[in-house]
Amino acid sequence: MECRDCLELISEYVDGELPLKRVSDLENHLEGCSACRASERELRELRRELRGAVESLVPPRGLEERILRSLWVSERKARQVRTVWTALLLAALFCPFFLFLSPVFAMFLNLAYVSTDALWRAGFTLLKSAPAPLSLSLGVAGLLVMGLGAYLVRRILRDIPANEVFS
Amino acid sequence: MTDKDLEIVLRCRSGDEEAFTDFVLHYTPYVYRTAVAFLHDRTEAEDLTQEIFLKVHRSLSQLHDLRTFPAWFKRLITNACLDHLKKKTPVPTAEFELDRAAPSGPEQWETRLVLREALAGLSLEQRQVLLLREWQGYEYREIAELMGIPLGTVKSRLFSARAHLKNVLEEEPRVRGTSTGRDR
Repeated sequence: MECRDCLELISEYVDGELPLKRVSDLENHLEGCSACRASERELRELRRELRGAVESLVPPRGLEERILRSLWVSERKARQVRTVWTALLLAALFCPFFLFLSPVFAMFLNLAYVSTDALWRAGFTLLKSAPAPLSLSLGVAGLLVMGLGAYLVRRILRDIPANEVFS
Repeated sequence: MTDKDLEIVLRCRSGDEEAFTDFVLHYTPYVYRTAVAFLHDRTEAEDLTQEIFLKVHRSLSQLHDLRTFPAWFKRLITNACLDHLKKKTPVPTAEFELDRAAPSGPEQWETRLVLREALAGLSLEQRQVLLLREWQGYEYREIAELMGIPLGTVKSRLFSARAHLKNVLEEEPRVRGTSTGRDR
């Protein structure tokens, strides 16, 4: 083997990619040629230095924190999207069920409407027949009770972990 | 890959957020170095590092065999770098900045600096092949598959890239006689 051929194959040889049948030829040549041996040593040294050059690159300060922050933000967004889609899917799934039972729901709605209407009428009749200050006080108290009821319902609903349930 | 690494990956896969924090702290230097080496742009490398961890976070649960994690992770990083380079319009290569880290001795430090500058001077194709081999440790056949080029092209690009780096080191007065020329 000539030095020229040897130098062409050294790169593959140091990578362990040279076919076995050519390895022995090359090694025989290397044994007798100090110049090619030096080239082989240089190449191995170059590989080591190259890895060292890349290894000596240092990430900027705070990169890890930035990565984690962006991860959690993106995870939160993804969870929100999942929640919306799950809610839509559930609504789509329950639509046929609601349609099927719509007469029953209509009956209940009607009952609620009729009973509420009767209740309001009775209340108004009572308030009208009572003296003005008493009727005003009862009206204000009724409004306060309704406001308190709305507030309580909101508090109860706020404690329900809807996001976790949907996601 | 140590048992501790395996344990971190296992915990990450089961959705443990604390484990993923450990994972990010442990692997950020490797991912960042790989990205900088491929892209030669620190800002882009930072963005790509974030993207890579995001991909890992989303797809780690699909990894069934934990033993394949190192290869899977390496392939994910490599593909992300190669894809990014494909999308990027070629611009003149930026020089590496000086690092906060100083390698062991001043001679070594000079050699590494010169090598990094020399890497920037390689053509994009040569740099990719060289890094896939030297840094990522892929075999020639795998590099050919990853880049979609013939095996012969891999060999010739690798050969020319190394020859270029060797010449740069030999011509560089700052490192002459300290590194590859030391044996002469």
